[in-house]
Amino acid sequence: MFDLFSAQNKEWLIWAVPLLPLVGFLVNGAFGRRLNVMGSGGVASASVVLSFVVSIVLVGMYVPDGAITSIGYSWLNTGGFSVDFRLYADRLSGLYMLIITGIGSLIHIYSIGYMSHDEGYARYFAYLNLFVFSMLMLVMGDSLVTLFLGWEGVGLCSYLLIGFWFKDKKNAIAGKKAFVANRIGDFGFMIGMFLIFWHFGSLTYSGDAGLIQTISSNPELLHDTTLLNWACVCLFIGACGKSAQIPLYVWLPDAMAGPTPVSALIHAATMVTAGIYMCARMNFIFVHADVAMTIVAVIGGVTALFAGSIGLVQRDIKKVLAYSTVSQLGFMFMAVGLGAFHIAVFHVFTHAFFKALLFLGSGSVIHSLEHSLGHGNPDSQDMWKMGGLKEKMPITCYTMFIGSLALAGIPLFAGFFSKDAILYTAFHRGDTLGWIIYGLGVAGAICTAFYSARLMGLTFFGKWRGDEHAYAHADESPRSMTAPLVILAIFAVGAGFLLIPAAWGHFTPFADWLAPTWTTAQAMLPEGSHFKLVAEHDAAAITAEWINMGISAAIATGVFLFAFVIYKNPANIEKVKKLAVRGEGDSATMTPWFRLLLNKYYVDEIYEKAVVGPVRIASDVLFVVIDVIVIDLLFVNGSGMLVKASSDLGRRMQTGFVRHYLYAFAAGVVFLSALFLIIANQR
Amino acid sequence: MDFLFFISALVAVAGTFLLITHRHPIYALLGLLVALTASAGVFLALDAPFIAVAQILIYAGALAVMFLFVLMFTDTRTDEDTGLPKAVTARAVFDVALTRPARIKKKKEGEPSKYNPLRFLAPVNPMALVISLCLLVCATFAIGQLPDSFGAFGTLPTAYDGTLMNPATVTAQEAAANPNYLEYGTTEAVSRTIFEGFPLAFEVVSLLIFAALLGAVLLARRHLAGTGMPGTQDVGKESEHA
Amino acid sequence: MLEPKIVLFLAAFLFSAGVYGVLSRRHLIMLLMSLELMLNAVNIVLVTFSRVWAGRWSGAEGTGLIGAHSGQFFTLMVMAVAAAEVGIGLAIIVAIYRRKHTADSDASADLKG
Repeated sequence: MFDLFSAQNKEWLIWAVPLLPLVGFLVNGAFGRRLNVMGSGGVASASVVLSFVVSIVLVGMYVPDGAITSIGYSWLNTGGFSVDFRLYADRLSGLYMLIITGIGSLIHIYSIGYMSHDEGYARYFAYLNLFVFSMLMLVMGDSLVTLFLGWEGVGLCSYLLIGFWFKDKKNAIAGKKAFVANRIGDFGFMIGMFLIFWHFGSLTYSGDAGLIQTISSNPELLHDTTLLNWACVCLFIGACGKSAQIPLYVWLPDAMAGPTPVSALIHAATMVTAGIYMCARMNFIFVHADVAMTIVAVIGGVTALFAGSIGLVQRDIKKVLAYSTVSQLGFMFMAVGLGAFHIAVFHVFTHAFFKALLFLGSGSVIHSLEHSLGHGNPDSQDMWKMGGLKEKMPITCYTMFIGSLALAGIPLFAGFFSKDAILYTAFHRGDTLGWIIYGLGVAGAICTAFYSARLMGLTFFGKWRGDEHAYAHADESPRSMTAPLVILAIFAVGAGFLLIPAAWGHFTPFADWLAPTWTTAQAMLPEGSHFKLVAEHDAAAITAEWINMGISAAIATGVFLFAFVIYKNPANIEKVKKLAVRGEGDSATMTPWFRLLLNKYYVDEIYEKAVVGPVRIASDVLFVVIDVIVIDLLFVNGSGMLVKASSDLGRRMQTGFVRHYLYAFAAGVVFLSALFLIIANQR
Repeated sequence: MDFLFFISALVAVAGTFLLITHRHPIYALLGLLVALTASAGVFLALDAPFIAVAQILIYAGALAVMFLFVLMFTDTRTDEDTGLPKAVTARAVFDVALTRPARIKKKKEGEPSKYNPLRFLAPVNPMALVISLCLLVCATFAIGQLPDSFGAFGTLPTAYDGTLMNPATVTAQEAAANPNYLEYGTTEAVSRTIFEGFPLAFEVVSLLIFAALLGAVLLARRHLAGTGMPGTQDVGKESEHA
Repeated sequence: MLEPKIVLFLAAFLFSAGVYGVLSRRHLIMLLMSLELMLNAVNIVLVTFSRVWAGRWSGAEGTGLIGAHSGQFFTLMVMAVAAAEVGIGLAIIVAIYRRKHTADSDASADLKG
């Protein structure tokens, strides 16, 4: 057994990590319908758990000694462009591998309970395994091309799982929306890829012809900042699509149409952080693209506030979490834009735990309520029709409470450390951009604390406001669902202690782990760059750190308490309704700002009018002109008519009379023999 | 030998004419029989007595009888012909050629005139005539191109050595006395060729004939309902043009 | 003096006559008969060449007994194949006659476009 994990085998073992889920997918895809939900889910979970075990061994034993690469085969080889199908596990990939397979395992196990009453469990687990495989390919591929393969793969799985209950048309439309929004992003991503290949002549990371080596040996390539800016902006457009940033975030809230564990795994913990992974992977290019980095930071900050403010008023429990995810992704991009890649990845890490926890907890609530309300009933997700569920579902309540505290950034919980580090990076930067980002971040943090508390207050505390029958039948979820909640809750508390700021003793194993990833970028950092790629112990800045920490802790705690007090008390909820809503959801009586938030700033409507409408009109015109007239009439029917007309002529030759064929045959014989005689005589 | 060849050739040509000019298949068959039998004479003139005998046995014997049988089964008429031929007389030719053409032409197509004394002859098909004449011209031209070595037949060896399989320098008397010496074209010589030169081809051809035998039986047998045996469906007259 | 070319011309004539018969007649049995004539012409050519070859004994490989008679052997093969062909052909004619009640080749015009 331990021979299997010996160092000679590491280049083989690395293949097991993505291929195990692929095997799970194939088994579930081919035979899943013959298995029951335990069998199907068991196969799926086992494949991911095994993959997790192998990942732990690889990351724990071998990755610290240096990146592992393993060539599968030469994938594309066209002229000057060649891509090997090669896996690459360095510290950054290793971390992602652990997050994907670890949280993936928990969510697979949780899904066995969640999907037990669904007929399509085999399809579900097949898609989920395929997703894990694609996501692992995304983070383990050794080139942007393999990354893109995984990128498209996770997009496909996301599409399939959002539209999992495709019989409801609204779910299918949500899946389509996600696909289209991602496609716009992919367009940018591909342009970025082309620009990088054009400039650097490679898309591979490692190896002699890889990007890192190319940049190290040809530093002059980095002087063309215009091109680098364009390339990075294009890559960031791709990241916007995948990681749901303005202006392409619109698909993520709708993506909540899929099963809740999917939202937890794909649309909170892993896939949507692919954009951050890609930026972190390309850090050695991004640090030289100042303009692009500013754009990234500003977009991230605006998204953080924008999505957070929409989350304040949502009634659907999953929508709140969705907007929260968009907002937190905005925080991550703030960190990327400020050059603090390790902090961005750290926030990905902590966020993966507490957001997966929150989604799984909300899934537990929905699962419980759907028992009596019926599957797909919107009331099962409406927080206004919940309340007091603490009594019925204590484990869910307490674990989710921990998740909310972490999300809100209450000190000592995981989210505090990561979010505080982001805000401190902006705070400490000292220029205008830094202050703008800091302002956006603080405002976003206020929203975060508020909606976290509101979600807890409305769902678990106060009085039940919905259907009495449903409350009576609400019950704690099975152990396969609560166990992952507990495990995630432990990490939601503990994960933050891996990056303790200087003010508290400068304990930074997380940043140290990732430090080799940025060595190239660090070594070639331009003079006077603001970017701090590694955690430095800056004694002079301790005071600033304390000030920043105080502000964010005070904001988080204060706002959280304020909102929690409002929403856990039924009387106060009525007051809020009077003050803001002014009526039972009648839009005419609402306060204008409330209406604006409730309608999500009318972004969907604006897109509908400004983008979808013209496209639709153009499509109609094209349909009539190109499709109906040119293709159908001219090409399809035209070629048919041409063939028919010419064959009408040819048909006349086919009289069917044997002697006519014989005439032709004999005349041919005569002609050929005459021809041969003439040729023979001319020689 | 030359005399035998020219007589045979003349008869063969005459038979051929009979074959291709006569309207009625029975007379055409007669012409074919004549031509094939005359060909046997040609083979004899070419020092191939075994082939000559085989020709008469296979063609004149077996094939002609088969043709005759099938002619008895089927309707001999086609759209182009009715009636039985009468003898070609000088008077008839004269009539057709000189005195009656206008009258014959008046008759509708496809309905041969009763006034046509040469109606037993098949009408001339100009297209077929042109093509076959062109072929003849080509073939003649090609024969003319043959090298000089085809100018004469040459002299045959007196006999072949049956052991060495080579021509032997012996006198005719010695060859006749010793059974080991074989003369060209005799049954023994041909059979030695078959069984010592091409045994596989011979076996394959026997297999082919066997397959043809089975196929012919299968194709020609009438399908009888309920027997479960394959065969051709007998279609009623009413569905003739369906 | 008999020359090979004269025999060959006879064969050419018989062959062309056969072609004429095949092309001009509509009765299927007439077609087959003319075909037999053509095959017969081929046989004459083969026997002629066999005889020419035998008359040119040079001691070289292939001019021995078997070489000298191989043309005649070919003739036998052609006869056998012709017999098989006629057997099948006549069977087909009988089958056609059963369906169409005529042996006119123009009646079997099912390939008409």
